[in-house]
Amino acid sequence: MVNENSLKQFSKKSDLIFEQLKRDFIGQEEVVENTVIAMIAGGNILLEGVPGVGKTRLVRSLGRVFNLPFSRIQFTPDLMPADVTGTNIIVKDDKGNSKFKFQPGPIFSNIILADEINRATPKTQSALLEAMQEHTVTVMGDTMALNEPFFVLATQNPIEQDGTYPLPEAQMDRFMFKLLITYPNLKELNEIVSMTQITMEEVAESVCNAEELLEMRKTAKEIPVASEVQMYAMKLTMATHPDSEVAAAVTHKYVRYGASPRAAQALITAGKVRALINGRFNVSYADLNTLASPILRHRIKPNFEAITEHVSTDDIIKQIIKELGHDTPEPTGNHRPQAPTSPDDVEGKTKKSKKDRK
Amino acid sequence: MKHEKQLQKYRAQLVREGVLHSVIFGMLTGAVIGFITFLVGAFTRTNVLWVGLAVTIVIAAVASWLFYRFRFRPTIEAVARRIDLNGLQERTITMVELQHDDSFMAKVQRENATQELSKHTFQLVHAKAFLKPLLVMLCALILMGGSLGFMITQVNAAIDDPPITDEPTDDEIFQEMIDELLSIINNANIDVELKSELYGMVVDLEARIPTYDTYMEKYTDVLETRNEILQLIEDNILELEDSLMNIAEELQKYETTEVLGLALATWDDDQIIAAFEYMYDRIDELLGQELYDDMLQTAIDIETALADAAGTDEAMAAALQQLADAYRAAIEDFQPGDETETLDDFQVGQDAALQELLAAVQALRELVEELMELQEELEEEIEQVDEFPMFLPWPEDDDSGEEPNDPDTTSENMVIDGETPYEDVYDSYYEEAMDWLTSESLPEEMRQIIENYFDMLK
Repeated sequence: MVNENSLKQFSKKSDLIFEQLKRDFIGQEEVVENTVIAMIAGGNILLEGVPGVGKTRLVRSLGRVFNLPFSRIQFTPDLMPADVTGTNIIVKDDKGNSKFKFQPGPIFSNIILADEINRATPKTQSALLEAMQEHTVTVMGDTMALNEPFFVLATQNPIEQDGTYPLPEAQMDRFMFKLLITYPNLKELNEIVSMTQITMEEVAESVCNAEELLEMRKTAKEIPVASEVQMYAMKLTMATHPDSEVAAAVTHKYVRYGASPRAAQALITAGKVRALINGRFNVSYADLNTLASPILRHRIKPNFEAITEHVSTDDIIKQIIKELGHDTPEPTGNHRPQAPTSPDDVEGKTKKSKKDRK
Repeated sequence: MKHEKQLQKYRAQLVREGVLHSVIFGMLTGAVIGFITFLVGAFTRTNVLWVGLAVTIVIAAVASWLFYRFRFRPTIEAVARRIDLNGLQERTITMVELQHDDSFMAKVQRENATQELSKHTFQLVHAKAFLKPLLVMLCALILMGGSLGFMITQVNAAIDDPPITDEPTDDEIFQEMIDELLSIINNANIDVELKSELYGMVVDLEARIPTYDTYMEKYTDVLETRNEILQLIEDNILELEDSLMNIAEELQKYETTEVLGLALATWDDDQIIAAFEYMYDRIDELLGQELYDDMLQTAIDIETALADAAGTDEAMAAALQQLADAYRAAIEDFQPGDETETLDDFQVGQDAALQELLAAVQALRELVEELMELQEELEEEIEQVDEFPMFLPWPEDDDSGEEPNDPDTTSENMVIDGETPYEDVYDSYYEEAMDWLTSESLPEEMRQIIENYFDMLK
């Protein structure tokens, strides 16, 4: 049951989480925010970025901040499903009899980093499907529950596409967000280098545990959504379908297939979390508009005309938002604490009070 | 509740906006209907000014109400949405939806929204929101004004240019002339005998007209009948005048009635009264037999004059006879010494006769004046009618093939070379001149000069 205490706790924890993450991760505020939103909302993330931009570091920092066990699976073409889920091995008991014993795979953790997921075969990729959706693993007929909270953060390299296996639509749909990590700018790169000259290790401290994260998830679920805001989320999703009654003009022109109902669910769930993180107790159009790109970009299939005209799914989503007519800009003055401006501030920021941060 | 008061405050703004929008759109609708109404009036050349204005006003009023009722009346949800546009991020609309929800989260949300509402005062209505509708309404009003002006122009043009009717036929023209003659005769105050005679003449004319073959024959008969009527009226006037002059001349032959005769000849009431007074004064000093003889002689002279005067008006003759009777009655039982009594009796009779005579003269005078007016009217009517020119053009629709009356007259112009006798060309030139006269607008004097010239040549 949500009460005043749980709201205070949520606000306090979210501030601390962001604060700690910023100690290890310079810039990419949108990526960090969406990652935290996904964790609180219980969704999985597909991270796309060139090598060396900090994808693994981000996941490891998350593990530290949330005090959750972290597994890294490097997907290669020869990786087998059993390497992910685990397998039965033959062991001898005390009496010397042979029996099967299940040896859990790296997936039996709370945070999974599936690195370069598109390099593994589709069969190995599908090993993650059940885990991501059901949070269970079935091996040789036995279904085993995974730890909660369970969170998959997969990465893929947008440059090296040779010899890769593009993720099937069914699996893409299981990711709540697809986040694009861009190359840092000059200032950010300078900060990164300055920081990593001090230490390469993550310095973020644990500020939240599994129970608290689950509690935050429960609290966020209670955030109300006005009926017309919810309807807007439905329209956003349906507008990506060329055959729907609310299809946008840009959809008719550039989209082959639209987003599934999971997208609508993700919009509302993530919208609630985002609202609460920003100190609001209702979901707004701005929440949905901001989350639309991460949620929809991997769920929309552009047609040949879009490809030839170099129209990206992000462009299509922006146009859809414009056509729906609720593209009001979000007011400035975010509730969340600001990022530290220099490495010296990293140590000093940890103990500041919530009031000071505001 | 606090948030309800806040929302009501903002609702008042939107109500004002809604009313204004409704009025603007109502007037726009009214102007469009007015435009159509005036346009219809313009094309049908009907003055629909008041109808159009009334329709415009009524439609504008009804449309304004309908627009407010079904389109622009703000609901609380609409107010909430408008407030949220000012950066409240759907706090207000969520609060309105959860207003009956008592859950903890709903309460927290309401509190948060109320706090944010309290921090700011929003102006939900902006003047530029009315700019476009006002411009459209203005255009509609201008169009309506234009169509109104067009309607007025068309209506005025219809008044100035009466509908073109077919030219009347010859029979219609002649019938009109006959009707006018009948109307004048009917309205004239003439004696019954004369009126009957004039009616008879017109009726006979009506009967004769259809029997003629040519326009000229019809016109000639109408003209002659008209002249005859005028002549009869003039003769009647002369008769009436003569009747008075005759008796006046006869009375002037006798010494006793000479003054009375002179007075009657003037037609003047004062002269007649003065003559009666003279006649009384003449016998006032007489006594005895002298008085008796003079009064008797006067009576005899009056009666003789009446007998000798021809065609005397009956009323006048009766008045003069009454005067003569007054003389006789006064001396009937005369005895010397009764002069005063005799004169008194005579004066009573004389006064009565005087009144009768004055009335008779007045009636006669009025009759003559009416007849003279009738004559003038007839002459004016005839002169005003185009088909009654002094000289008629040869009819264009004459298919009878009739040759002109004079077989020696050629219908073509002839070159005057100084050797051709004018008798040979007179008729053709005369006809041409008359044709020209009837087709041109000339003063009557000029027309008369030309006619006289040709008459002189003839």
